[in-house]
Amino acid sequence: MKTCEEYQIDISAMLDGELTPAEIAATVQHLAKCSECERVFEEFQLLQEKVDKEYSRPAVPQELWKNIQSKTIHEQQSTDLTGRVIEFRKWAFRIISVAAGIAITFTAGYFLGKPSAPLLIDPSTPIILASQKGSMSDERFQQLTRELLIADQKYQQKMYFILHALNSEYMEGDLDPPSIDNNDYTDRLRLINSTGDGEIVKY
Amino acid sequence: MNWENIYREYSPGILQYLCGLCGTQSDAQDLLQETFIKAMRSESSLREPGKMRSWLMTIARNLFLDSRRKWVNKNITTVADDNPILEVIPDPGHNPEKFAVQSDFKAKLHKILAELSETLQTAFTLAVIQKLSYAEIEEITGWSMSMVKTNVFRARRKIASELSEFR
Repeated sequence: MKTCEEYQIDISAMLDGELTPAEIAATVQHLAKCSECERVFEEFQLLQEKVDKEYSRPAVPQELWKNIQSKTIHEQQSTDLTGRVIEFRKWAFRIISVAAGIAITFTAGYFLGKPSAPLLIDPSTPIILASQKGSMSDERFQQLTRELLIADQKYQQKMYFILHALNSEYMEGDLDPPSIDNNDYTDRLRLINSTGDGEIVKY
Repeated sequence: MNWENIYREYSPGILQYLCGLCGTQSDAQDLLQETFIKAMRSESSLREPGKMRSWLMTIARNLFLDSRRKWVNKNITTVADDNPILEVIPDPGHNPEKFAVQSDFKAKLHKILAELSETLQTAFTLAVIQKLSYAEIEEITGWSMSMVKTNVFRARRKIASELSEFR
């Protein structure tokens, strides 16, 4: 059960159009049987009428807007200048960052992509033909043998870099990549060259 | 944003609200000016453009509360040992500039409003004079809906009883 003061709060809200239809119905029902609340309702209604009559939208002096404009325009100009300086710095920073990034990429690419040892297979190195080359032509056999040796060397180099990278990541201290033993290749070639009886040396 | 149009549409209502709070036209105009300068500087903080009026009213109210706080801090005076601090509260009712060319009813209403707490001033000005919805008042003041309802009722009751001579 609501008290009269609670109903009066609702009367005030009703005048402001803030009650639901159900709340209005309940308030009106209460007003019909409570003279005190009815008096409050009339008092509030009269006050509202007087306020509505007396208060129109006040005129705002035009110079006030001019003042606001001049203040904000002045600020805007100084902000624009500061903004341009900041923008210039931002762009300069971006350009320098991109240039530095490109330089780092190229430098890293140069050092990382560069083979640590020159390819050992000299195209002019004679390769002695083996007896079990089958029906393969001599030129084709020699070409394949060279390609195999070059591919083997490249594969080993890549593996060294990968192992080096893994070592650097998981172990403290900088580990140099193991160097490729050039003699190993020279020996192999020599071995191939020396098997005059046509045997392919397996290694 | 077209600030000139926004100014044209909302400044009269804000000025009216600020007049109710400040008591003087010139103080209200200063705060109105500050309100728009602040709003224009921080327009990116307006999340929903549909709530422009309550956003501007919130700025205006906060500026008023700040200026009142500063004024009170500046005017705290030590009077005597047994009464160490006396807060001198501004009484805009004594300003001759105020209530110039106003009806008796309006002058009396302004006087009563000036004597009310900021809470009741705000509740009455926004709900009864400006006819803002309770939802908007809730946004501007940060009060709950039931607080808005109660504060508007209390302000109404107080002012209605004070203005009984105009019945």
